[in-house]
Amino acid sequence: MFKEEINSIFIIIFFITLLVVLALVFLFVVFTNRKNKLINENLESALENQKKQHELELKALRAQMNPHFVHNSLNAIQYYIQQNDVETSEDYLAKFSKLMRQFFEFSRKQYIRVSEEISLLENYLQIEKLRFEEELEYQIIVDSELDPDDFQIPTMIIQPLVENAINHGLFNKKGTGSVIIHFNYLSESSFEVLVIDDGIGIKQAKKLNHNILKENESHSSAVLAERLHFLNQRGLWHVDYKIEDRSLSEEKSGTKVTLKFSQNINDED
Amino acid sequence: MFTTTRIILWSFQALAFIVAVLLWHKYKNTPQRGFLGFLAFVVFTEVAAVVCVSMCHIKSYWVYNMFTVISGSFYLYWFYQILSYKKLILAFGLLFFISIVLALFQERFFLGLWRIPLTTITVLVLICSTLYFSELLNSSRVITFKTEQQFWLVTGLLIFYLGFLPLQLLMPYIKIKGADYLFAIMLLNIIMYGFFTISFLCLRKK
Repeated sequence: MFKEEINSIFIIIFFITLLVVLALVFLFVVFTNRKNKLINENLESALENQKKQHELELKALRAQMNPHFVHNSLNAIQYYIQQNDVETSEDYLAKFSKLMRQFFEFSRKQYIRVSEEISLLENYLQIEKLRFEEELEYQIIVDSELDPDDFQIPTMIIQPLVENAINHGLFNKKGTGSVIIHFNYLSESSFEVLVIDDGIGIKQAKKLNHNILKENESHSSAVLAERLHFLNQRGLWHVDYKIEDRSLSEEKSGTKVTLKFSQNINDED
Repeated sequence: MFTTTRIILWSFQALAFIVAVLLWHKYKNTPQRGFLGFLAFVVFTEVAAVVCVSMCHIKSYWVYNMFTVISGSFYLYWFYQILSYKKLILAFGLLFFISIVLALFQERFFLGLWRIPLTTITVLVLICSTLYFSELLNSSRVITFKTEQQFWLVTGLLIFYLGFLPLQLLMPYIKIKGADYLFAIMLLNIIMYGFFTISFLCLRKK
């Protein structure tokens, strides 16, 4: 009687153990497989994003290191050398070399201080002024509330816009043209940048240089649009981008580009 | 052997309750907060059953029938909270209620275990567990499933009811003896409360 009881208990133990082990093995195999698959997918997505980011940074750097700009700048420096104006040529060569260094240095960063961006723009505009001489005037106005050392800005966004303003807005204008860059404080984590020129305006520029614009501006605009989209997608920044022809709203010629930068502090943590 | 297994079961139930008390702060704001009260009720049920048999010399079936009703309702309420199939769980609740009403008329409360609600809740918990695993597999939480408290709780329930269902359904045919049946139930209970304990302990790792 006792032996029979023991036997049936062992049978029960055996079947229950078998059931438990099978159920657990099945559960853990399914869950571990799914977990690994999901981790792989996330890794692939992260790698893809990183690759995309590097591609965009490279494209942005290429857009900044525009061969026409390099060529024109060196030509202008060469002109001063030929004129035996050693002091001016040295001064501009120093500025040009500093600008190139900034392009490379900042292209490796995700964002820089607003003060660094302003320094890059100053350098860039001074070299452009070398080419345009008295026909180019520029101003960089920083809101008193905005501390340029405190606020950060994604790299390689503003300079291509200023370059567009000069090459497509002011280049085709007769007489002196000006470009004004405003850095306005909006809140503790946001600010706006306005790039305003009094050139021929985006509509007119498109008509005049239809083919050239198609190749160059559309390329740099596409890179910019892609970078802004990527920045918004990553969630660290929210950037609003608006471009308007001033003749439509202010009855003045020229183009106005508005960029609103909001830094998502929580996501950055 | 039977007594030893019973003592092991009580130890596991008490351990699950003690761990639930000690780690209360880790899950007090989650749907699992009800498990503390439930495990206290489990311990109370076991004590009540022993008192009934040893001191009052009456059968303890009514204690376990009460336990079936309360534990079944608790599990369904918990699944209602954690699953997104709210209407389905409400329908399950209705089904369970009907099974209790049927048992009231067709089965004996004091002289035997209520089979209808037991079988009903077994099937319902198995379905709910499957739904939970399906939801978890399709969510990003699957990456950290080993530290998910709900995962261990549902696994414990699944193992218990998976083993319990054939016993419950086949018992009249295989003429399994009362003692063997109780032994199997105790073994499954030990495994389930073991998983419940893991579910609380995994919160420490989280």
